[in-house]
Amino acid sequence: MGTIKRAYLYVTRKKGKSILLFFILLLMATFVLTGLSIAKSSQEEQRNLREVLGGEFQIVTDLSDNNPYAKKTVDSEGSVELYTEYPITQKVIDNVMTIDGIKSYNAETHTFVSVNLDVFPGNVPIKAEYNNLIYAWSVIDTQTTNFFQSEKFKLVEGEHITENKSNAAIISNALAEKNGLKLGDTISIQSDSTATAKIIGIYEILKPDPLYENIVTYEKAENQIFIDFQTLQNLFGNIPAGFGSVTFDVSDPAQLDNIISNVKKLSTIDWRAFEVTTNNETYLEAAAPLQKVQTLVITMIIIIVFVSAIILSLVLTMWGRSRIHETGIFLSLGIAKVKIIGQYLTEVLMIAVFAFGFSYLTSNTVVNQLANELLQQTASASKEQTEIVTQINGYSSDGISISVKDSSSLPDASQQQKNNVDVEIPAVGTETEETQLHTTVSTCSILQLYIIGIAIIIFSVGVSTLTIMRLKPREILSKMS
Amino acid sequence: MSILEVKEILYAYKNGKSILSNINAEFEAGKMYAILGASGSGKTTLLSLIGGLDVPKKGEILFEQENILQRGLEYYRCNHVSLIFQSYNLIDYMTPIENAELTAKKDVLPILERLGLTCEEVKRNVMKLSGGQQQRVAIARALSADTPIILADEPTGNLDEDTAVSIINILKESAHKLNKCVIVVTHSNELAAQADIVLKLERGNLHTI
Ligand SMILES: Nc1ncnc2c1ncn2[C@@H]1O[C@H](COP(=O)(O)OP(=O)(O)OP(=O)(O)O)[C@@H](O)[C@H]1O
Ligand SMILES: [Mg+2]
Repeated sequence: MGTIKRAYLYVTRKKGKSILLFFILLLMATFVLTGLSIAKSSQEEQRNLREVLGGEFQIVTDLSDNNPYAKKTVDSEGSVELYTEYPITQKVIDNVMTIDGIKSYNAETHTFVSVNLDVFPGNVPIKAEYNNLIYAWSVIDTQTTNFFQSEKFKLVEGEHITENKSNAAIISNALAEKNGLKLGDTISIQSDSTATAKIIGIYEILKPDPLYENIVTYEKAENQIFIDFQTLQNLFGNIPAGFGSVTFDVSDPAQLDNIISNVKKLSTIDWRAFEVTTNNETYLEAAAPLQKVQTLVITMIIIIVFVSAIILSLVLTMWGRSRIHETGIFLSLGIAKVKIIGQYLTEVLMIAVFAFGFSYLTSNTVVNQLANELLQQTASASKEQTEIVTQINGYSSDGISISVKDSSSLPDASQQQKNNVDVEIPAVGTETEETQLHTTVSTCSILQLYIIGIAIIIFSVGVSTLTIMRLKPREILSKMS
Repeated sequence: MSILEVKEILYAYKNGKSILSNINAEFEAGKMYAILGASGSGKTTLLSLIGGLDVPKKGEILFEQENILQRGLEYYRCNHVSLIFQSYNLIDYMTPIENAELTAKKDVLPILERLGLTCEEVKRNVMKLSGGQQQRVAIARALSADTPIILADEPTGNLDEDTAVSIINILKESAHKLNKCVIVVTHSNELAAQADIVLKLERGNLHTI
């Protein structure tokens, strides 16, 4: 008779013991699986949080004395102009983008220009000299600007300004209509120098300015114009044109410091000209309660595993004593020790397969309540953190950018998309049901349970058979008579 | 030619007291041997050495001229020797069929039936059989293991006289008809008389009578 058949007979004939063992294993598995599931979900939440929050850093032109390229001019009227001879150009950006972990960038700059057009006047009285000035946005790709990303504007005619365009402009349909312009017409733009640009695209305003709000001329949606980078350079004349600042988005804020230090190592860029600034405090603070849950749960799992191993070892050792006789018989029949231990192990494993499987149900019911309680306890420790996480929650559900940035910089394309994805963020005490830490028992956790469980069983069976197996068969047989 | 040979065996328990000193014996297939001896003379001890449950302090046991330690005691117990005990030593969660099948090398059912167990009895839990029936199961297990040597330590000790006689007859038949080497330890001179050869263990020595 084979080992498995013997084990099967024992398990099926000694029903009382099998049922008891089933419940012991079920209890053990429920604890372990619950712990594993909470650990996994808090890990996932951390990752989600990181993805949702993202991370960013900015490269800003340094106009202080530290920058050897910084220049200062004073014109005849005494107004001072600061500029740099080493601005942030596409080349600089391309170099930075070679670093791993940077998802995207957002580089735009706007400058006051006057155009040979009849613009829509604002309803705020300003100095006459500003009345005809409007914003010209210079970008690498107009599609990536917040105007188009947030669907405030929509291109209805022509095409977007992309990297290789020159002398190109996009204006609003309102402005085009008012001035009788169409695609292909040329406008003249004036700043330090004068430049001409051909209208290659016309946009429509999907979200108009609030009706009764006070808006200056250059802020009116109808008056925004977009020009390519070359045109911007033409406007600047001899001063090299560039971006004042570029925001780089990284997908994992935990990697932010690493990425920045890699960026700063780039030898192709003279870092005396720029400053690198960052802020991932939001992420760190939001992640802290989850990190605490994680540590707590892992400690718990370790304790559960130890206690389980001890309890199981004790139970099996106790039962092993009553099986000394049986062991002696098997030995006297010439059944190898390994096969006898194999039988005892198989018995427990047979029951464990069912108990572990069943623990999926028990654990699932335990998991949700426990998870939330845990998170609440941990998080309520810090009111400040609570507020931050709750705040993030609110933002995300509204589909608004949740990255913390200067008010001037705006979320880029991928960030916008991310916010549309329904990502759950842990609720901390104050939120409603739908924002609870969502935990389910995953296949991965079950697999881990089987590995941990089988290890515990092997250990316990080993311990429980240790004393028996050291004895000689004659000693075992004489012990029983 | 002898199938089993015991050479200059010496055995003492850990407390130092010598139980067996210089045992020499030869056993042949097809014969039943009875070992007599006073209580405490060391019969069980000797049988456990021959059965490969323990090793002698000195001397050697040869199966077909080869020291049984050569291939290991587990191999020896599995293939060459079967043990029958006074307390039957059956597995309590198995039926007679399953008990016999534990080490069976041939079909167990005809053997169990030949030993007088009914179709119903062979499927019952062994603990629900009478002592005589249980001992028959133990013998069936030994016979289905198909080992050339069968050792029995007071196999009839717990049984009434009639049952004891039938058990001894079964063992005798096994020796004569199945060509087994059967060694039976007993207290009963009557039963010993059934054996082909009777040996006596006295003061650590084994001699024929
Ligand atoms: N495990 C042991 N440790 C120490 N001494 C033992 C052990 N087993 C048996 N003895 C001693 O060895 C001697 C022989 O014991 P054994 O069981 O072989 O006798 P026996 O001839 O089978 O007796 P009985 O007819 O009563 O069964 C006895 O004196 C006994 O006390
Ligand atoms: Mg004895």
